[in-house]
Amino acid sequence: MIGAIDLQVGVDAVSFGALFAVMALGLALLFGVMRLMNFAYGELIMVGGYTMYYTRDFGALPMILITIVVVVFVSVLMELIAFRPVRHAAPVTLLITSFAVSFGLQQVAFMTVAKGRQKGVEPYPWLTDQHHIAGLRLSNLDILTLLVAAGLLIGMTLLLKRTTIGIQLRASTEDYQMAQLVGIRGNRVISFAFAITGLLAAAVCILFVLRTGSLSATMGVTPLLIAFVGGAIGGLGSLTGAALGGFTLGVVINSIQSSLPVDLSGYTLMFAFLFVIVVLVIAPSGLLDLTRRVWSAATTRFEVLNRRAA
Amino acid sequence: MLRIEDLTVAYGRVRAVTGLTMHVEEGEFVGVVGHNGAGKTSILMTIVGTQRPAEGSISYEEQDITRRSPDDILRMGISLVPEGRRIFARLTVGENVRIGGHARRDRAAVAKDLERLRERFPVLAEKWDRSGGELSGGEQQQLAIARALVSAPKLLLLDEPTLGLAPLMVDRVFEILEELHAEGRTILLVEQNAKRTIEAADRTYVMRSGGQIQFQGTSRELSEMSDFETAYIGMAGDGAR
Amino acid sequence: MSSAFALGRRYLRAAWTPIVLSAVIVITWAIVENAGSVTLEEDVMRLFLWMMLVLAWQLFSGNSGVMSFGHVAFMAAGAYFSALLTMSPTLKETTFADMPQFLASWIRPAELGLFESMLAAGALAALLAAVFGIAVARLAGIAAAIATLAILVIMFTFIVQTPSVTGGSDVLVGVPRETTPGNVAISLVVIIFAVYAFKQSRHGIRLRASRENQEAAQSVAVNVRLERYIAFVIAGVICGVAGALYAHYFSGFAAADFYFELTFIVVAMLVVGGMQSVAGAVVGTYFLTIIYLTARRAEVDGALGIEWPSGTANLLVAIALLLALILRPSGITGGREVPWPGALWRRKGAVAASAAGTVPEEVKEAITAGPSAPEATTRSRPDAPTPTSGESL
Repeated sequence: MIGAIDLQVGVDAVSFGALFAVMALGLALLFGVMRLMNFAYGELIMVGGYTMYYTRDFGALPMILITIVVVVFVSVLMELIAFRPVRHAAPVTLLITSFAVSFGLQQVAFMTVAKGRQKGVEPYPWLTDQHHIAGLRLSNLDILTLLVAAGLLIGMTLLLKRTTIGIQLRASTEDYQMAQLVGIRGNRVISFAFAITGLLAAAVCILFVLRTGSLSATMGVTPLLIAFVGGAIGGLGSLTGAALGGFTLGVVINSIQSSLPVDLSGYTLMFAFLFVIVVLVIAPSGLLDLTRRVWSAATTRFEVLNRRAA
Repeated sequence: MLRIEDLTVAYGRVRAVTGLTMHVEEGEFVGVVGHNGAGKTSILMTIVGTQRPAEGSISYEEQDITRRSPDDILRMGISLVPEGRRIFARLTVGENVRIGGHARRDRAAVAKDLERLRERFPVLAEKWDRSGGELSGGEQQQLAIARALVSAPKLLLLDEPTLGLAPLMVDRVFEILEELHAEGRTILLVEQNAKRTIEAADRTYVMRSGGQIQFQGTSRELSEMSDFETAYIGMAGDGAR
Repeated sequence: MSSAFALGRRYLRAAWTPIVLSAVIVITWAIVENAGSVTLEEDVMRLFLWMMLVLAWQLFSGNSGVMSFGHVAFMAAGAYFSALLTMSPTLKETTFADMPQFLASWIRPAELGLFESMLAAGALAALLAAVFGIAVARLAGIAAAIATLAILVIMFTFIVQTPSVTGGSDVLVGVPRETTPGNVAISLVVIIFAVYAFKQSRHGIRLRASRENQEAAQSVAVNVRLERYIAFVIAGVICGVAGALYAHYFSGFAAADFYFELTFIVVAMLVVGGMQSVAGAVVGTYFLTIIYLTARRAEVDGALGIEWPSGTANLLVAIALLLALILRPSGITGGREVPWPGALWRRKGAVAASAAGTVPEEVKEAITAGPSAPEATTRSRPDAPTPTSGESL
């Protein structure tokens, strides 16, 4: 029975991790294009959450659509107002700017929608319906999360590899100045990046709120920390790395939480972040990059040995 | 076609280029040579708009392009093959080439140009789906040139294309440039390899540090200048084999 | 004797900035002492204590260019540790009934005075900063910022999750009120001189050189890691001491007092004032504290006939920070220190380099002409432009 329980924990963790993979992907995209670590990304989740609250009686589909539109709009607006004026500043300045935007949005929430009684969105009952597959319990929400996350990741991959704007985005991510020299319009690419990441944030937000239900002005902070840190561990320089990192950290945190004895589980974040510091020291450009380098070093050595033997 | 008047480019208190005046006529192959630190790259960066000059002006086909943005300047017909090639390593060869042409409207013409490029650069056609980072230095240089050509430029700028290349590749690069020149393209070549450049170009500007022109002229004119010999001997050591 | 006068004048000029700034502090303190208003005293205490944090942040982040989110964690450590050592043993029995024996055996009976508890706070902060600093000093740019963020979260989580030692997320009360505006003012003056001295010292200069161009600095034998480490630890100590002073004035505090909100305010104050100068730390703190506290009053008491919602003060700080970043990133002071009066009516070229917050020219020239500069072929050619090192993850 122990094996089944471990695996169950694994399944929950996987669906949790999938959310963070998507979120980390959004962060990495912005980091790649603009060298911007967008702290305010978590607040997009908060904005979406409250939008869901105010539209919850419109029916599931309208609520979802409106939320997506609002979050994308706020994301693009954020770029126009706060980030475009500082676009060519040093990354540290951009970081502090995003910190200011994040904090400011939280305060606006405190002053407006987050006042008074705590608001929440009732999770739809059918989401918690469970299925038993191969001895594991999977709720509809888990399945939905996995499907949406997988869909988004595949969709993003296709977008980046097959569409013109995707190629432009990848080129700008790699060498922004050179991209301009081949005529790519920076403003357009960046606005597009913010719109796409807004879409990702909206999806994460919807799945997250349906899972937890409660809203607060600071609800975006913890998801942001996990996605940000996870992405950095994986390597923000590469989209795959960031997604994998976000996923891993989400899984790790969820697993730690479920498997630690009760009195230690509150320390989850603490252990997770200690882990993060260690990883950063060993692999500052992310674990994916480290793995690649180790792999290529190992294979080169293997070839050399082979040749010597031959 | 291209006129630079009294250009001064400064980085903080350091002046890379001071009071430079030069011009390129349509169909010409003009070279710019000189030591490191002579400001050659700065000239090109200012032409394409990634660098603002402190003083002076640049005009192209009678229009002032001194303060235009790089993507505008590309659309006007100026294309740069930058120093260090700067191909997009994570994009495939095909994507690299195609992205050079994305600003053009006429997709049919672009498709035809792509075909011609594949013929001209067979090694690129061979590695079309490999990622740019996998190519050798010489192949990357060809890729960078191909990418610049896809935008159908009227004026092609090159910044030290032979830097770090093997002698055979250096020959190939100059071969390509001479072909392009024969086809009627206007070329502005910045190079360390003074000897080859002076021979290949219609006219060459020889610069000294601080970004000022020391000599200029056709290869015959330059060889006739008395003090050119001494400076030339110093330069011929750079890259010439 | 004219040479003694000249010598005195030179010292005066060298220490001009900290002297002027300290004078401002002392004057502020005098006003508080004579006004006799409790609310004014509280406000000024906040001002002074925040200024300590901002100065600590200036010492590390201002000089190194490395963003630290974590120093407030060292303040928390200092606050809690000093409180544990000064609270009455009977109170500790009840509040920390579950404290593990290996700690309780020496903490419970302890009843130190303020000064000793400040030393203890500084020592603990130094220890923590020394440990975490090993990691942070090795990292660059974003990675370092993440690591410091991790420190902040780790400390907060630890405090909240370990009520047996810290009282958890509840407000800790009963800390003896021993801090006076006088102690704080004196400590602040000492810190101002120390931070300024650091900036002008070899360590400060090397650190600032590494901020301008890391590779070049390394090529002229600047051990960047070591310099960052030293600054990180010193800043940590200052924060720890500030924590002790804070705890013994406000007497009741909670873990949430040392988390994102305080971090944000500190960052805002320094950026608005001017990250690269000590004067910037002081100016920024005064400027934003006045705005913040006025807005807080308005939230509580209402102003101009409106009930200002809670969060207004924070929002104003956020807006001020955004405006500074967009319009004047170098801050109110522009990174400059207090100008020597004589220099104000001399030509620009004659201004002493030490009055400016920028790296001294000799160091800059040594760096740009160094062997790692790609375009320079000889050492005597400073006209080759050096590319600034970009941020890499």
